[in-house]
Amino acid sequence: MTKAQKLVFLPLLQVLMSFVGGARPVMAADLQVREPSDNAYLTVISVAHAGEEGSRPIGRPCAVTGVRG
Amino acid sequence: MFGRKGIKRMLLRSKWVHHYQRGSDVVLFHALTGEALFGSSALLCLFHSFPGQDVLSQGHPGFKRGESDAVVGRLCSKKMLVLSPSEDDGMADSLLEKADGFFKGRNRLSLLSTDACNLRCRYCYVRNKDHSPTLMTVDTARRTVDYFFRLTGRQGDERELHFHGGEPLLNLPAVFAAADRALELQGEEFSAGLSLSLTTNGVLLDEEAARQFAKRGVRISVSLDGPPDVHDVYRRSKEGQGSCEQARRAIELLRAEGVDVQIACTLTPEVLSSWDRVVSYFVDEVGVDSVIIGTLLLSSSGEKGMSSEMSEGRSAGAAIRSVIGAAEKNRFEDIDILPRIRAFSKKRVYLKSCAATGGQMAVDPAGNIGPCHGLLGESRYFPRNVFRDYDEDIGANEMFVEWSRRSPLRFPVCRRCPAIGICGGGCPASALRDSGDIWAVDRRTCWLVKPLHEWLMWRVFDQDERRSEGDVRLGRK
Repeated sequence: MTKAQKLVFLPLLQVLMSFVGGARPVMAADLQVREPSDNAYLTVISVAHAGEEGSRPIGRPCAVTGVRG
Repeated sequence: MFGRKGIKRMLLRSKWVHHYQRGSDVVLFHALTGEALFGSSALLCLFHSFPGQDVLSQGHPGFKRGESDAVVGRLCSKKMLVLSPSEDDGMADSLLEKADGFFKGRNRLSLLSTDACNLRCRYCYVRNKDHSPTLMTVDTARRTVDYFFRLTGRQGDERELHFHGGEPLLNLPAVFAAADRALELQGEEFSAGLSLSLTTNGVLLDEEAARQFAKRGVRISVSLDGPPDVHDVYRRSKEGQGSCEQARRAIELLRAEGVDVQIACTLTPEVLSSWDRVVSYFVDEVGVDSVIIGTLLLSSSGEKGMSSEMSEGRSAGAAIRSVIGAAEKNRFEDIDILPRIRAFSKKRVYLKSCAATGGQMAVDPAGNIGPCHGLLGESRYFPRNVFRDYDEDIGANEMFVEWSRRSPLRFPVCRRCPAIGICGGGCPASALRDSGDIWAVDRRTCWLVKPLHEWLMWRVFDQDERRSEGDVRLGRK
């Protein structure tokens, strides 16, 4: 297949395949990716990085039962 | 050595990679490193083309070669595509190496001064409370502290001595004897920090006890689930009387003596459904904004009284929203949600959620040693004794070794879970009671952790998106 034939037939084939498969053809423009910054994690909630060591729960009897006394 | 074709064939999808999809948005992430890439279904399509098709040499259908190459490069740098399964396994092995072992970085003694309790809370984990009570002797209390100090503090890690039971105020002589002995040994050693704390229902607390706690610097956690109509649903006496007002009075007495006091609130379905009123009761009426919340995940004897709402998992989202809202507005802490969020926010694996799997010894009133206070009354889980086995290192005991190895990374089913990085394995005692084996999955933890992880990932996605849009508006891109 020549380059010119590829240019014509491949996109056409994709569109046809999308009807068969019921899906939109995947386009190069869709492959935009974002990489979240570390800061987006650190600020996931406003208290995410506060008080981890400072305000430890008293006794911390059990991490799962949550039952005391 | 290898051409592009060869590299493509060698690259494998890491088994730790999962995705969440919301409409056309996709979050592709590595469950152990926490690294993520945000994109659309095209990203998934490209990722799932590995291994096999020769995308790199021919270009992915619909993708320009240069674009897919750049994304593949990012997938590789984030270990989402790996060269061999051993690369994946090596990551889990090194985490396990860090997690295994006993008294590594965490030294906690859970001293159970009695197995008796003056209340019959419907959700309590202690079984058989109607047998004749056992009180720890002063000798046993002192011996227990000696044993704990002998085994711990070698690396300068802080020691934590926590009193509960049963209701520890039913045996104050043992509590004060243990506290005094710990302070005495601490004074001799000066090698590691020491924290003393006690959890109580508050009913038996009087002014003299409050003074004694203040003198020894014992921090007190009083169980209070909200105003009387909420608290008294679960926390009642043998005769069925509510204990809210007594708990509140205990808090006042302790504060008057200058004791560091905190409320311990169990997030029951009733608490959850009245959450705003509960928060306002703690902050405005009781005047304490230091609250530690524990989500009710386990109930043994109390299961008969449980609403099915919590156990069926319909309110996980409500629990998460409530805890985070309270933590952001007040000084509320929690033991199930916030520690996991903090690990997530630092892209750190939350290796263990239970102290009994590596940093805790519990000693029952007879001086028997086991890993977990939640199994009080079940003698086979307290295999050693502070008198009989004083010279033995419990860290080498078969049961302690087995408990310390309990990690979600060793559960085949958990290794496929997207939330494994923030799970910590949940509660072995809960698994034991549900399935007769600590190596069973604690499904009550899955109930909370899976929605939490997905919520966190989308939260990062949304925040990052807003920030990116802001940058564009400001002309920074």
